[in-house]
Amino acid sequence: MMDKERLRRADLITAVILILFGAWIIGDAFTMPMKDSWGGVMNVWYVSPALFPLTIGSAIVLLGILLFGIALKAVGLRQVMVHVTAFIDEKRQGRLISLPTIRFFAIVFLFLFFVYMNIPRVDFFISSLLFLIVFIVMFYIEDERVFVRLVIFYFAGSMGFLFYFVLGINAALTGCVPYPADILTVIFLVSYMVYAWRLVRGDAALRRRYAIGIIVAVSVPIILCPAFKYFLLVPLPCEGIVVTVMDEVYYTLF
Amino acid sequence: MFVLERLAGFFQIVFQIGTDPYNLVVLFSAVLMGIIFGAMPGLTATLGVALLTTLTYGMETKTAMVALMAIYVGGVYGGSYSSILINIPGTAAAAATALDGYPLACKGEAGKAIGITTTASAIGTFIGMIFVVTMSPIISAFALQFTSFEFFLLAFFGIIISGTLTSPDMVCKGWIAGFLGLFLACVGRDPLQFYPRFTFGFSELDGGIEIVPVLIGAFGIPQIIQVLKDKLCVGEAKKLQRILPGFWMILKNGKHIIRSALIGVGIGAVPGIGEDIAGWVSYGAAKNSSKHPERFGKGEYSAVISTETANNSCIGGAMIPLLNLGIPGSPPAAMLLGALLLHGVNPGPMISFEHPTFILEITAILLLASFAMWVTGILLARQVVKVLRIPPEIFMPIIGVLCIIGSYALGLNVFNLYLMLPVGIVAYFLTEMGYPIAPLVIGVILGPMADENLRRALMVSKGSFLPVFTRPVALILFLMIVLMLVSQIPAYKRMKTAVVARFTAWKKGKGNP
Repeated sequence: MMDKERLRRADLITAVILILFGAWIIGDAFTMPMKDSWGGVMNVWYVSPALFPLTIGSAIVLLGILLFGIALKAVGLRQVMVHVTAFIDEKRQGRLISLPTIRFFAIVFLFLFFVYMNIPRVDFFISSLLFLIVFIVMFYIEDERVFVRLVIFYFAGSMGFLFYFVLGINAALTGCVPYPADILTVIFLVSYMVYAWRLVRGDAALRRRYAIGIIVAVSVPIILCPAFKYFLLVPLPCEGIVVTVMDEVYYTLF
Repeated sequence: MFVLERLAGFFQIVFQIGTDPYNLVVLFSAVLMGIIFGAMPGLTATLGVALLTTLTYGMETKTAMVALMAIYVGGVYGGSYSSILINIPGTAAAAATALDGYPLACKGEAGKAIGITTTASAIGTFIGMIFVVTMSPIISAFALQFTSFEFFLLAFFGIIISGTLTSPDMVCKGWIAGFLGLFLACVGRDPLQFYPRFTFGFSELDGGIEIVPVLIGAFGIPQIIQVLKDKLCVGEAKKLQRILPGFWMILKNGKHIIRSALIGVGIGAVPGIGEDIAGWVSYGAAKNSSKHPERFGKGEYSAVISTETANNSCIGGAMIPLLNLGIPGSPPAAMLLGALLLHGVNPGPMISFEHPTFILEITAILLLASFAMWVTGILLARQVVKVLRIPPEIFMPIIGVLCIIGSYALGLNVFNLYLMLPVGIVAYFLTEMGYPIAPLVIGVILGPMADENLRRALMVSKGSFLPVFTRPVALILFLMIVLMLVSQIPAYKRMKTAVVARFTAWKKGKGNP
């Protein structure tokens, strides 16, 4: 949790967001049937589907106003202006980009790319392997310089993938090459590993951490994917090149 | 005769579950997994229950409950390992244990301390179990008199009280979290007229938001971000000697155990607040009643016994409102509620009719889980503490993958992941800004109950709120809600202080003529 002073300043912003959010809930609730007939049922206010959202929206607006009042009383109007100008100044000078902030964004982007981009399109074994190798190597190697470089490398590569999917290149390639997204992800994964290796090879301690990270990251999908697919009978979100091979092996053996 | 029949039924179920090798394997594995989850800083019992829920989908309900109750019991107990050995509570529930547990480890008594906390935790779970079996029929019979107004007020009361008691900053933040949870519960077609609310045209949202992915997101993702962003440093674990059960010490602290167990059960039964508060309250009570309060914080056995008994007896307490009213008593119990619904069990006053032996089964599982926890704790503690050496940078990404596959596996729906992640990120920001997550989760769970019952009640009364004032239980609940809201107003607090001061002055004046 933040310290009290920062918290109260953040509360001011949150309170405004909450008031707007509550107002949106109320606005949307007013579009719901209150007096008209819906599905053969003649509505009155107390059976309307709008009743509960209206109550919640109003409560959120009221609590938002209460929060705003408390925060404003604690911070003071003049202080708000001082902090706003200080924030803009800090932003201009780039002082807001601290290492914990980079770490935070790295984690969020890792999850976002994994969930929204890779899981629906890339073989689950490969996508989870990529997620784990990138995540573990990035955070387990305790070197600030290496960390920042790996974040930039992964982010640039993922943006490339984003354009690849958004521009429809994957759909166009699927007709000519089998599993193009899987193959490209493996290529990206290998290049990430090679790049990370080049960054750590000069330091014995970092090399050891790199090796441990890779071993752990590889072992998890090897255990997890067959366990979910064949033991818990859960089809994986996207079954591509590796899962097809796994199926071949499993059904030949059993 | 009824009591004897119930007792016979109870032991029959204990025998049935305890002699089935498959159930035993599940029981001991889940307890061990719970202990590991509890022991590792950054992982919690709630997250353990959440992740295991997804694996129990294909299991029989009874076996699934064995697994989930066992991981819950193990998870609450496991937190004491890291509290005692590295001075970092594995779970919030064990935070109070660290105050005296770590000084004991520094004195070279870590083995003895862990042995005693193991026995105290087992006793705590056992006492909680006794309350589940004795209180449930009374509360169920009472709850059968409830109508829609009472259910609406009960749901509302649950959200307000958990918001009031769990908020680390301002109380209104707890209420806001609760209302945000209620909003999430509104998403989907409404339960009475099937009108789509806040679905944005997504057919996947028509059925409402799935509870389990929301819970996994709300508890798992913020945990991963917090631990890795702030680079949680785990210190060198203290050396662990032979684990001794410490029966003599337990006997000597009988009164602490009884008091802490009662505190634990009482706090557990209050919706939304859980083992962590039970631990702290019990610690405070033990210190206040001790002849040597100055020894607290320097390695006092009665302190670790009190906290560990309280947090484990809280499990039984949390099960009482969960099973009989459908209101979770603690965050892991909220997760259990999701699991119960997944297995087709609807907790509430009708549970004794729909599943006549279910409460006895849960009680039997609690007994077996406390036994399994004690055996595992005494025999495997030395091996389990080795997991404390695994750095968070390695296990947190693995937990991330488990959260993702777990959320997906429940409905085989990738859309659940699209929901889980934003909920997790929002939950992280809320946590950072002092909003508690428990009321949000309880809001999501109790939202449909509150919505449906409010409208049903008003339908019956033709839009009149008069039954709230004419029905005794509804009136009590209403007054409690009003009192809780009013008690947070500064003017009320000032008035209360003035009245108390005047009363004290009047009493003094009367005593000294």
